[in-house]
Amino acid sequence: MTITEYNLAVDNYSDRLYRFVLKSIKDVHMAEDIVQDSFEKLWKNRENVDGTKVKSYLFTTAYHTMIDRIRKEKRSAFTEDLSLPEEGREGNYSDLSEILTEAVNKLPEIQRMVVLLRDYEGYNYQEIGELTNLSESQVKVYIYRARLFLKKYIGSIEAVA
Amino acid sequence: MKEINRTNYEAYFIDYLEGNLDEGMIDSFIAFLKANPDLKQELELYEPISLEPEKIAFSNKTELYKSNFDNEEAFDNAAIALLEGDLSANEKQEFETYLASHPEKEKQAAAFQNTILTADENIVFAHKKKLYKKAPGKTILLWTSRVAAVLVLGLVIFNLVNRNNTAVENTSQQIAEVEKAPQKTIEETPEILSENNEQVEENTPIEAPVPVEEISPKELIIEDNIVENNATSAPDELLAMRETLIVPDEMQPINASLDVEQANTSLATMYIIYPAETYDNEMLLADRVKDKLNLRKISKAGLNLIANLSDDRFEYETNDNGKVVNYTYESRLLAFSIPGKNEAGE
Repeated sequence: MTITEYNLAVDNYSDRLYRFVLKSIKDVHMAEDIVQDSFEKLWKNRENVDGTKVKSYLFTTAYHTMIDRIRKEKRSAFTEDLSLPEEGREGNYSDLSEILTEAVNKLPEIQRMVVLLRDYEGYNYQEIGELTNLSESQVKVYIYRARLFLKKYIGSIEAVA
Repeated sequence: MKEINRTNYEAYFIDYLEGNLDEGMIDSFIAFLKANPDLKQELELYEPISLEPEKIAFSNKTELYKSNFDNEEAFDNAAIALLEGDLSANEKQEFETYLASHPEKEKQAAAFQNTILTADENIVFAHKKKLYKKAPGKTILLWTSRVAAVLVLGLVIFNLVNRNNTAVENTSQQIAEVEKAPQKTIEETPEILSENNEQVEENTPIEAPVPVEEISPKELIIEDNIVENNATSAPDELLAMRETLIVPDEMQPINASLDVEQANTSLATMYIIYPAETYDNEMLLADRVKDKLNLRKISKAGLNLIANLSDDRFEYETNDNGKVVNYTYESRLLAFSIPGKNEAGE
């Protein structure tokens, strides 16, 4: 990969990578760290990375970094659920995207990341499987479960509202 | 096995008509019929009667059918598969037909559409600039240019400081060599401005309110050597340029005292005139720098330093051009001299 290709990758993919990571882990500073980390790793490995595979390299690196951090956090005392208090909402949810965001945040991490890869980047099951080191059928199951959960969540909120 | 008689014969008859009569009973059955001809007649009456089932269909059968998709799990899977594009053409057809006939299910299937996530384009990565990499050549160029800029700046400052220092040196020497001229009165005038312009051509520091002795123009002994660019510090040259002192016949007694006589008058406005700096010739900054810092001067400075350190045991001679001709070393024990290089010599 040449320097030009690297800089082009910064242009094309840094925003997308950031969106993916931010929606996955929700912490702005950690997301920025991870994006910078991923690009550093790409730069260090530039001899070995083909110019056409840059995007998948970036996303793979980011995914695995996030998984590692999530595992580390789980080992420590607090969990994600405790740190996010339930916000009491009143009135109508007029914004579907708000509800959807809430719903996505409630998904288990891997399901969330897999769905984000599918919808944000348009990867198919095989590609996601390669990125995440899962089998295709596993990926499919995760996506189906995620969709079911999201649909039910939206449905339940709308029923209340 | 009961024996067939006139009270239980119906059951046997039905058996016979259905073809279920036990084989062992056939003989006794025939014997019974012979013995009871009226019952035999009755039997013959029954034979042609049999019921045919009517061909009646249940009209609401279609509503009773259960589809695969009525199972909730199956339905959800099918709906998601439709969304994801995982259904084959046949399956898709089947499902869509089902949905068409079940409007409430169609609504539910549509709800799955809402689960598709879309990225917010407003979210951007703020620190993109940190990520870019420059080609190594460019990096080196950048850093060398930065270093060069710093050096140039340093040089310029050094130059300015140097100039100020030499000016100060000159003036201090001037003041040292001003002799007290015999005067009628020691009237202090705070005016430094004098008729003779030569005096003014100094960057004199302000000598405020210390009273200054008036210097008459005739007996001015100020040297006219106020050439700025002459960086040589030799007092010898100044001495050489001095005019001889003209002593008047009568010397007035000098009332020398260290007392400072206070001025009667109040301080007047002092005028300090800074002459416009004139340069002999315009030079480029680079040339000026070269002038100041050429190798010869640096080497001369080095040689002077060595001479000083060695308490003048080490000396060097220069010719008219300023080139070093000879290096000599003299001490109590040893003395030698080395000719300078590039001499057209033997």
